[in-house]
Amino acid sequence: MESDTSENYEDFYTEDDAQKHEKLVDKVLSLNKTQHIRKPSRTEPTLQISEFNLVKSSGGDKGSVEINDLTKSLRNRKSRLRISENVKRAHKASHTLPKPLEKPQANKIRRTVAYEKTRLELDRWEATVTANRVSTNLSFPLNDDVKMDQKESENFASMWRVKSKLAEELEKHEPTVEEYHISLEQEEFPLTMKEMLARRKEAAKLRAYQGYKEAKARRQNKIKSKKYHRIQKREKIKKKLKEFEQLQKTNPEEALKKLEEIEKSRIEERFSLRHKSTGKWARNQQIRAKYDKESRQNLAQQLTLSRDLTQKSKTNGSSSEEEDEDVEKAPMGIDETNPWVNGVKPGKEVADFISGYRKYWLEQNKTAQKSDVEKTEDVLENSENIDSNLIKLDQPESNKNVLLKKKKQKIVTSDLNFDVEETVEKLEKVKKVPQKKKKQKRNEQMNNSKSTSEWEVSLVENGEAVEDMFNRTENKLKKKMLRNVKQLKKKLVPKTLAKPQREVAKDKVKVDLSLPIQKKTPQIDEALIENIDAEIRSNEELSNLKTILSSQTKQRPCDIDPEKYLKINPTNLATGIPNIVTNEEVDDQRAVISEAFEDDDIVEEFNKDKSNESDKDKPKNINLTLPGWGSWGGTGIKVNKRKKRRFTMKAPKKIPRKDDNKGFLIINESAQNKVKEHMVSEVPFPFKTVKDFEASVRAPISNTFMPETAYKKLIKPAVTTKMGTIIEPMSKDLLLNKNS
Amino acid sequence: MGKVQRYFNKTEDISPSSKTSPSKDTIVYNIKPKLKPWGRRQSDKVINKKKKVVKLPNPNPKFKGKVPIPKKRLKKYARGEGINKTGIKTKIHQKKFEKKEKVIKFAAQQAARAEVLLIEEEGFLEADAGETTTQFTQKQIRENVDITAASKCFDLRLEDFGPYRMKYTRNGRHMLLGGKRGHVAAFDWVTKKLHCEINMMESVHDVCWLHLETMFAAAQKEWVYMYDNQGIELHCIKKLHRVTRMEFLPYHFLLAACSDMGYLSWLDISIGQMVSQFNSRLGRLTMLTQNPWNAVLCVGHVKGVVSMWSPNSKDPLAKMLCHKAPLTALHVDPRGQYLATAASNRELKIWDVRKLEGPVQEYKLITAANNLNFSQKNMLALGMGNVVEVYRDCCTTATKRPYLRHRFTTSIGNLNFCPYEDVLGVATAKSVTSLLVPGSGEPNFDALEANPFQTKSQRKEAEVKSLLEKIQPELITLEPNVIAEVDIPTLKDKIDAKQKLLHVKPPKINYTPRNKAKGKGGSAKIAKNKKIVQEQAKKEFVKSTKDFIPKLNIQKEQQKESGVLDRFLPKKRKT
Repeated sequence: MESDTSENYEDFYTEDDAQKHEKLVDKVLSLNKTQHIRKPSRTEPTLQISEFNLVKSSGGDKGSVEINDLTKSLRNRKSRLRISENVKRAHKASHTLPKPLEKPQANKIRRTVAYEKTRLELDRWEATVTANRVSTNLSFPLNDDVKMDQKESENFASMWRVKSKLAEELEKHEPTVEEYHISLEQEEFPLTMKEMLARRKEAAKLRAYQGYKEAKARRQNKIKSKKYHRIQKREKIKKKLKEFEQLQKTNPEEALKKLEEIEKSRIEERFSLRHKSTGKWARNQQIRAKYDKESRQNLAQQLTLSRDLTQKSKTNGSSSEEEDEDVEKAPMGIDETNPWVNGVKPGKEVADFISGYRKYWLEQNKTAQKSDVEKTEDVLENSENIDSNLIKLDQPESNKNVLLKKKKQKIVTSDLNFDVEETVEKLEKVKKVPQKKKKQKRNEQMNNSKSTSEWEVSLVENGEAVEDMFNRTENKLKKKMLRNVKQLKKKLVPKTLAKPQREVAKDKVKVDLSLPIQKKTPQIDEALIENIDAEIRSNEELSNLKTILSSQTKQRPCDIDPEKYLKINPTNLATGIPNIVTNEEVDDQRAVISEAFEDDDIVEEFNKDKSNESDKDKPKNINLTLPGWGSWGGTGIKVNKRKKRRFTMKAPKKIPRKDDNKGFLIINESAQNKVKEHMVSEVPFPFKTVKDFEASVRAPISNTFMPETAYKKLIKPAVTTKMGTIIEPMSKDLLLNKNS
Repeated sequence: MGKVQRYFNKTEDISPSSKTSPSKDTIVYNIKPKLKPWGRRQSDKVINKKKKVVKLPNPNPKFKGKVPIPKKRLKKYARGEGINKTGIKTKIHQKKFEKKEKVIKFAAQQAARAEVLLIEEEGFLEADAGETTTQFTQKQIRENVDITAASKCFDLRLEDFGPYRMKYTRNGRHMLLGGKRGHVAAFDWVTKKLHCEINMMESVHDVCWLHLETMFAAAQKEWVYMYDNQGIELHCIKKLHRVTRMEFLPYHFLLAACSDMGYLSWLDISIGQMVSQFNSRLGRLTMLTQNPWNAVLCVGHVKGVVSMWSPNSKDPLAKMLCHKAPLTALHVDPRGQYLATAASNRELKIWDVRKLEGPVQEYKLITAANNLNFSQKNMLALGMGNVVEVYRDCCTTATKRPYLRHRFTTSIGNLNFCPYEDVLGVATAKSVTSLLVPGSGEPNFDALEANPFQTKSQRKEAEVKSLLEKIQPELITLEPNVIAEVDIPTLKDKIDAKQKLLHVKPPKINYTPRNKAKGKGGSAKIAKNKKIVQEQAKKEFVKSTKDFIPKLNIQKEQQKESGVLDRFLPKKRKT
């Protein structure tokens, strides 16, 4: 199949061998799956060589086009040297953009930034959240406006108060002013019937007129005759021109404004894609252009149009403008050859208009030849300065403020009567004495007036005399601008110098907060490391627990038998002697006997009891010897002493008892077992030590033990809701309100 | 290729003028970079709270604010040392507990302030020079006090049903008396209104009020019977056999009894269940008293020993050798501070019953005391034969002279101080007498605790409330506050168990991979497999060790009784 197609191709293109060869190569290459990046090639024959379309060839430096080489095309022209110098300078100063980061890295950065941002946003809530969490009682809705109620209550109380005479007197002297807010609209009288009807009529008329106009416009739009449209546009432009001329005479300010509008339209044209030969139509034309003369012409026309529309009306000093000039000349040639161009659609009127306005300027300049050469030179210098500054600033154009306009008006009106010399001197003075107070205002002005200055300068550059009035205004503006530019620079420079310091400071803050380095481990080991971590954690827990234990609250004071040290002598009480002795103890003799043997009997028995009790709790040695193991067995065989010693498990030392030092007391320590079920055997969460937990439970809550007021406080519910109110989520206003 | 200056890369040429030091035109802004808080923790650190205390001027200088509470009184109501803030884990919890501490402190202050309301003070007899209070007779006292107080001194002559025992209710309003020969009577002794009077027709060894004045128990010849205040028999408790003495533990709703046979028993009267009953193995038990502080029963023995019992253990919680002679009487004061014991060798000893130390005071009497009783203000009444003597301040200091003395014609059965009244009730063989003992009772009563002027509805309310606040019998121990403590031995055991388990190393597993055909395995794969197997083994081991700890606790749960329908419950997974 492929061979067939290739033959077909050969049939078609027999003349061009090179092309054929290329095709063949392409085919062969396409056999391979891998994609080849092709060298981009220029398809559109253009006279203007844009830097964007320059191609870096694969062959390295040799094949690539250098801008410096392009300047050679200028040959022996005057401007060549300057341009080439500019290019060289640009080479030195420029930097290539850094390579964009790889996607994962870029994403990472984006994520961190996003995280930081959201975190800071959330941090704002921290205070309120903690306050709410800490508070013992929250009553919803939270942001209840309490102030209102307070005010009402204040009034309420004062309602019942009887005013003293003095107070009444005072009130007479200084009556409280009550504010009444009455909307003014209500004060207006309603319209009468007649008026209403009149108004209605008017409105109807207006609507009818509008409809008529619309219909007319629609009709006119439907007319397909190009000639008609062309004529119409021409008329329009003529009309405009006339108006403009009139304006020049009557109201120069308005004229200025008009000019501005024109400039604006140019700007719009510049940044729009109209007439840029990038549209679908243009591309089609491009394809056809190789073989079709007409389409080529069309394209050229289109391009010239765009150039016409976007051209600056002046060039001054800088290289870019020169280039513009060069460009300008080329389409002019086309214009002459191509009559079709004149009929081209929308740009035409504008171009006409511009040309008309140029004519006007030429005329004006001729009339203004009387003015001194010196002044013009001065102005020229200023203008040049300004221009260069402006280029350096490279700030976006902005619409004029109303303020600026007003200022201008003032300037114009005031300066009209002065001589040029005076004004210049004045301006110079002004230059010398900077007005510090109005710096900022001026700054703004400068920013706003920048765009206007450009065209003004161009006029001067043409080397023709300008109308005095315009000159003056221009001069003023330029001077101001100059000053402002300088100030701006001065301000900008320290700022830029200060910036890095700030950044360093920020960096310092950041450095401290770098996260601790985490272990980086291959995934295979993950589980193992988890294990270790768990162990470490549990060890920590253990140590915590140990601390809990070590910080036990109750360290029993060493029990000392007070009997040994504090022997209380019995005091004899002179009790009454009863007449009757109870039946139970009749035997006096028996009592005497028991008294005689009391120590032997009772105390001995008690001590025996005590020793028994303590023995019960004492852990005993366990003998694990097995007779017959490793030795002869049988009756009457004694176990080896060494063996006995080896196989007895020694019990731990005696645990101290509560009643150790109290001879008269036996305490049963195992009796507490039943309570233990109810006791807490672990230190619950927020507590670190046993002591603190016990302290937290030390006070009862119920009102049998607490005063009622305290009890109410203790049992206050954590959350209460107001009946019948909508509880809405917290809003950001809460963060602003200081009181809440 | 040379670099091309792009329009957006263009940097402004810094003019030489601006490079030099800032001229007059320029404004130099001194910017202090404020260090922003970075991160949550840091931000917390950065914010320094400086509390500024602004004292507003006193709007009314006449009123100088709340009266300060004397420190001594505050200390009396204080709940002890608070929580150390550092002992709590998170800041939020710290703040929460700080708030709670404040409330507790506030409660203590409130209580201290409320003491102003306790306006009543106990009185006492003051003797002139050359006189002693001992020589004042009841007749003299009665003549010198007001009528209402005088009416509280009376004598009931009960000739036939001889030796009597008597008891007061907790609020001191009602009296219950039981004669050995079967006479039992309950009455409001202030108004002398009789509730009931019964002849049991068999011997009555002891009588005891239950939680209210509407119910009482009588230990009769064989069993214990319960009656209501109209004398209607409610219960006959045959499990309480041949009971000699009874005590009622009001907060636990337990009727404690000791028997002739040496049995001790606790009967929960709220649910009618015997909580515990066992033989003390200490012979016949005739002396019984309760320690109101911890609800432990104190039993006196012939061998000079006082044993302390709770229903939770069949061995005494403590045994104290108080005398070297048989005990004749014992009593614990209402606050649970002192234990007074008397023995047949004419000794009287006062012990510190909280520390189980002593004796605090030791007295030698001329005759042995058969009866002892503490009043609410720590007066001690001794009954010896037919003489009753009351001592003041005999616990802290050694007194020498009795405060009051009274002689009866017959020997004394028992004596009781009446709570909230300056009255000592004495039951003798042939009479029941109430004597005036000035300054013996607590003058200020807590109406929610024990109200002598209780109405019927109040009584009902109090009954319900006290039932709701009933304390379980398991909590009867020597130290009643033990419930608010951490069980340290078990905590230690738990920690030890954990420690032991953690020290066991997971076993190493030697894994020898199977030889596989060429191309299937590869050394990398083999290594991987080995790791996987080892990890699995390790995980299993860890899992098994983790299950070990709960098992210790679970064992008790498994002992639960299994119901019929338990078979339908989801079966527990075996691990």
